[in-house]
Amino acid sequence: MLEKDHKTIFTNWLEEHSSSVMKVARAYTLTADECQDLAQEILLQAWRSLANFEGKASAPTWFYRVALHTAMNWQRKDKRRRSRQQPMLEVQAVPMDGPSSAEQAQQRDTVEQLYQAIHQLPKADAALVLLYLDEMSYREMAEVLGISESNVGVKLNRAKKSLSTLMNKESHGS
Amino acid sequence: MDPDKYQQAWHAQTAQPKVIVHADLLLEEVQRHQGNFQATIFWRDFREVGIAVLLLPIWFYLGIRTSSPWTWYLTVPALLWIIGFMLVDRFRHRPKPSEPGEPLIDCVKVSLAQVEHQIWLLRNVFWWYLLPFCISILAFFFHTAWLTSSAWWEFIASTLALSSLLAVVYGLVYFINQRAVRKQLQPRREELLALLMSLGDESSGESSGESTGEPETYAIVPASLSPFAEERFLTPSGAGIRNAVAMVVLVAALILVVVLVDMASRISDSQYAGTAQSSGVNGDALALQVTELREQKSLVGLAAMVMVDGKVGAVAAQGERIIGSGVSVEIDDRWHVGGITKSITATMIGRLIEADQMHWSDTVGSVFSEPNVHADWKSVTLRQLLTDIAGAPANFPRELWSHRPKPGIESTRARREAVMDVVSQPLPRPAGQMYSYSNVGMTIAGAMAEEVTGFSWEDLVKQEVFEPLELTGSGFGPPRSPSDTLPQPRGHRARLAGKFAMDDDADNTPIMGPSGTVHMTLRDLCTYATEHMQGDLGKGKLLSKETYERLHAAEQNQYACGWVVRYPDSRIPYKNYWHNGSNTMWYALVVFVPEKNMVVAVASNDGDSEKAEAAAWRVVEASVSRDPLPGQSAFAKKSPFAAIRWQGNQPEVMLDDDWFTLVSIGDVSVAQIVDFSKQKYDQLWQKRFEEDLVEVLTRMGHPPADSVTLIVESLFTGEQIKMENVVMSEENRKAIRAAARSRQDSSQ
Repeated sequence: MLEKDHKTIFTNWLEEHSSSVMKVARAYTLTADECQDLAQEILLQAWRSLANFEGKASAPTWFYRVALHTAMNWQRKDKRRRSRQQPMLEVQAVPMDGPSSAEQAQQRDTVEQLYQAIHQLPKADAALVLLYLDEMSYREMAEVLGISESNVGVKLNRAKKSLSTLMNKESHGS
Repeated sequence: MDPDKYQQAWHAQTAQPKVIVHADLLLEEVQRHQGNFQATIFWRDFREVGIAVLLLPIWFYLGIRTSSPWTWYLTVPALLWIIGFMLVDRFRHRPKPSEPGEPLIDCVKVSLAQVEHQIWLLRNVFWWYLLPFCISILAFFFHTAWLTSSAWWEFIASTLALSSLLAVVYGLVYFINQRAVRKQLQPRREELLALLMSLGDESSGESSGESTGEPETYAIVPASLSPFAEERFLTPSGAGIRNAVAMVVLVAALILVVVLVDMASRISDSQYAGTAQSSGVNGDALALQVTELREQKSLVGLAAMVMVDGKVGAVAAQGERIIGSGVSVEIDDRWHVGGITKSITATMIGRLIEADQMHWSDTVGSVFSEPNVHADWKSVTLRQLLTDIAGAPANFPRELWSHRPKPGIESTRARREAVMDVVSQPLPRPAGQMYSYSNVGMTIAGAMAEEVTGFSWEDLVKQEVFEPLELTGSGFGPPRSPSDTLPQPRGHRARLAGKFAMDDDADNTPIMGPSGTVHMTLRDLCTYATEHMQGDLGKGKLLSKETYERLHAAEQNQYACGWVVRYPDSRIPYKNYWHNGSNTMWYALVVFVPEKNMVVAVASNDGDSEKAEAAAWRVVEASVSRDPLPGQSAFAKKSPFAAIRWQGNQPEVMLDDDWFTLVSIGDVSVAQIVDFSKQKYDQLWQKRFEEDLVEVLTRMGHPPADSVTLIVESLFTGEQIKMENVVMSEENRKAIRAAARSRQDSSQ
């Protein structure tokens, strides 16, 4: 595949799915700084992985796979090396015009609860939940995770139950 | 809450982030990358030049240590080329220091130029790095294979194996370099180009708009920065440490290789520590020297004999018959003498000349009547062949080297065929004009003897030389030494990995037997050389005095018929005749010193001829300079004359305070004494006549008594006067010597 095609794919993906980068990064980190670092790492790894992209999978699937793989291995990185890095890349969240303030606040609380629940899930289940929340189809989930669609259904049902349980606990606890 | 509500809330919070790059941080990153890249290249160059510099003394050491041929040192200019090339390249492309206020785009351009230059270097690595070493190493491989191979297939097999190994190693090096270009440098170059383009676009955009006062940022695809990410994980100090460690490891590996090669060489050398065998009055002293020299030169086995007045004064042998076998060489062992065979062939021909079967002036054309004898060869004389001025080629073609015809008729037929092939071609150089060492020439002479007599060369040598001198320990080819009993030494060939024992059949082809296939015991060799030494005095058994004089008369380059004439020098202050021989598996040297009536023979079963030769000459020098043997009476320093002066070649002597012309001493005429002195002592003949008259007369076979009868001629009347009972006194000799010194001092 040509270099230019790689760049086009990356640019398009970045424009359409850069929000997924932040969500994955936040789901697998606990602090804002760590989130920023992981987001940078995901972007860099995505670019590096382009050389291996052969078009067998769709670009979103491919990059989502890279993002999750990078995030799940994040804790194995040498923290001392990361501490020497300077934040050359900055991923800034752009606020969107939203619904009413009351509804927005409620949804924001829900999202915060979701993140807290995801942090408590096993990493594999967390990945499934992220894909589910992004409204991916079973087929797309299967491609990202490398498992069969039927297996996705079984695992996702279990993960959703776990998520509901955790969300209920969070709701009662708050 | 319904899970769908989770998705709604999740998407409600979705925000499209903006990825931006801070210009100042990007500049810092580019500069850091540039510095890391420069450091990497610097340390690479440092390693290359450093290793090359270190290799120079190591290369000389290994060359000397392994006695490598001259082609080994061809790598030295290759190393110098690499050092020079890299230093010049570094000077021409030395990086400019980055200034604090340097724009990002300029920094990127510098990095791009550096990367592109490195790409050029690696893509052309074959021409400036691999090719010089290929040439030098291949030359060494071919030369070594040529020197050590005894058959054409062995040469081809050796060269193919070594060349294949080199091709694999250097092919791997080339592949690694090209892979570095594809995997590292080329992607880096493309990323820098992309960054350069994006920076150019951003600069164009900014120039058209007004400055908003906000921090300068770029919305750049992070892909441009991927090459830097890898470098960011290693700081310059870390890179320095890594390179330092790599350098230490490389140097250590290099030293380890040298040590391993040296250990392998030492292990392959003979570690034999057995006691030397010796005999004779000075046998112990000779044994000590032979042992020290054998160990010092790392020879497999070494033996030496000193014969004076036809009697063994000392003989010693130390070492192994086969390396590592533990079986010691002995003083009666037989040794291949190689080129010493030449004088034996010449002696045999001398016998045929005296028997009127051959003549010095016989020509190739007169003996070989075939029509295909080339015109150049027809007039070449026997004597020219014997003295290596025939213009003959040095050696036979290599395809003949492995031929093994049986001794006798088969060898004679093969030899004749080979000789005819040579003489049917033009001479390489004109005959009779220049000395050129030749095994072919002596072989042709041997073939001529076979043609004239109808006997094989081997039979002729036995009939004319071995049997009359009772050389019962002599034969042809290497001495037979079966592995199960090892009754005789085995030849050893020196190779890169050490020394290896050769089979009994390993030798020069019998075709060139007249030039170098005889083996002898040291006693036989010394007996033979003593015969030649005595022959000049008319005391030879085989030939007349005149024939021996012809055999020992040098034509050019001090080369006689199988003898080299050596005049007194600082190392051996006596005229001597010598020859050595080596078939690359054995070595032998024989020297006879007429003035000392001494013969020294040294032999080794080691093909390292350089070291063997050095050891042999050390033995000769020590033997010649050693004090007279206790059994050998030192010649009295006496003279019957009070003084001597010369009128040309005519001595005038002082007796009873009057001068006379000397006519004779006892039964020996002055003319005879003068002729003998000239022949034996060359430029020192007058000195010897004056100061060592007793020795001179004794060596002539007329040892004087304490008083002699002189016949002198009066300078005034011309009358001959007979003086009887003239006392030989030391006072007279001292006076003569003092006068000689006085003349010498006044002349200086």
